Amino acid sequence: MDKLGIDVKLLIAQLVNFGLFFFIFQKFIAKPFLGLIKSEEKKEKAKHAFEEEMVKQKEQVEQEEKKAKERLNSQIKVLLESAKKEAETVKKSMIESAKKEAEDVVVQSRRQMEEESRLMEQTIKRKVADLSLLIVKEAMKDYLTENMQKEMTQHIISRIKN
Amino acid sequence: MKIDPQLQSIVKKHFEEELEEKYGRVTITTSYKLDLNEIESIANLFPVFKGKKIDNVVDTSLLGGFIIRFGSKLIDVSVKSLLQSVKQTFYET
Repeated sequence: MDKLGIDVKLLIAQLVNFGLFFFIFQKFIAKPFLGLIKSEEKKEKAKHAFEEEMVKQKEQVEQEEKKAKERLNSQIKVLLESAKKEAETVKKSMIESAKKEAEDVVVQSRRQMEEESRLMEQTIKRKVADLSLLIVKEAMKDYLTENMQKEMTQHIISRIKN
Repeated sequence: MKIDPQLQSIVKKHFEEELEEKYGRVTITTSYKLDLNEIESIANLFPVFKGKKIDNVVDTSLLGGFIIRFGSKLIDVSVKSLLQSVKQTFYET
């Protein structure tokens, strides 16, 4: 062995050294490190699964939200239609009521005008009658002498007798 | 309730006088003063006026004809009344 240049003692010392190193490395470095890596790997997997779950939940929520929105939209549409119909009915009723009111006002005004016209005509007629009679009275006062009045009295007496 | 006979006769007399005053008087209203003949002619028209006191009141606004008042009765044949009825006819037509 010496002839080959190999120092057996050194070789054994190196082998022992290596064995010691391997033992220490295996015991205190490689195992905890592997455990750490495995734990990290587990954590990563859990994280990934959680993320996937979250994505799924998010999609589900989005779908539900979409459905709710659709439902809301359809309800709003129905409500709008109903409100529109109701507004149309109210509008029609208001127009009819206003029309009727306007017709009533016209009829009332016409009646009032007719009544006012009739009253005015009556007043004018009465004024004309009053004035005519006043003129006749004044004319008769000037025209009828005492003799004429006596004749009139005699005429009345004779008519009552007959 | 018994009424004193003396008081009763006083009240009776009073009312008789009142009635005599009211129904025993005839008033003829004319537009001019009537002469006696005219008053007699008018009185002869109504036998109930015989023996009653007849007064003549002048009211020129009558214009002609006469109004007789006797108690609660009234006979109106004046021109004023005739014109009034013409006016009423005007009003009603």
